[in-house]
Amino acid sequence: MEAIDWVKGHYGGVSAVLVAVYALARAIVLLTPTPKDNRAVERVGLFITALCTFFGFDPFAGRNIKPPGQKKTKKRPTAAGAVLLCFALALSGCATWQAIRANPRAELVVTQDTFSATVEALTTLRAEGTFSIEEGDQITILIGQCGDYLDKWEAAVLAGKPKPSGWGVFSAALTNLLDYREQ
Amino acid sequence: MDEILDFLIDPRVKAALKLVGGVVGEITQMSARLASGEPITDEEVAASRERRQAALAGWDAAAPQDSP
Repeated sequence: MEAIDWVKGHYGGVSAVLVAVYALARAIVLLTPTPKDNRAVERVGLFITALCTFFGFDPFAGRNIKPPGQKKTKKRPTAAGAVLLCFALALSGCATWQAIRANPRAELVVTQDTFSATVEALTTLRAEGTFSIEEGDQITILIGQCGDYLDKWEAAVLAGKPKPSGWGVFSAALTNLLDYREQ
Repeated sequence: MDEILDFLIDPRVKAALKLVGGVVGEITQMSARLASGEPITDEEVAASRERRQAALAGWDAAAPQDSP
């Protein structure tokens, strides 16, 4: 019972680790051609979801929201979706992330570096020929939107001012970058 | 380390590992910094901007070349 109490008391952190591990595994198998490992990891994902739900935490909250009857889209095998899980979901509820968000400079640096890492991963995929010309153009627009906001945000932080308006647009653009998929 | 990874794994897997590892590592490192009370300097903010600009330059450089 002591172990269960501990897990219940730290469910946020436990869930974050589980989802991060799952995200990493999912990133790898989606990038490999064999469907067998994909199915295995999907089963692990179901297990993690059930486990997290048991402890009162939905690790995939806000994901896969589609209006009823909307046609299912084919998911593109990129690392981006996995990082969305790892960064936006697993960390959104943990104490570590809350501490970073409380410090404007720390939040800016972490967000900039996350954005940079995302662009670098997408660059690797672009060099591999994963994206069509149109998709590349769409991603370039999203990258530009994020870059513009980060410039304004940095100027505000260095001037000791609060986060500038446009955070919602930036978040949406970054989310689209992280979860870039075939339309 | 990169050279070893180049031999061992697919470049796309390497990208995924770098991305997930980079994000988790950055957050872990920043968390430790905040816990120790060490401030984030202007230079560190500028360095993160330079990494962003380098990433953008890489994205542009990876654009497919127009055929003649």
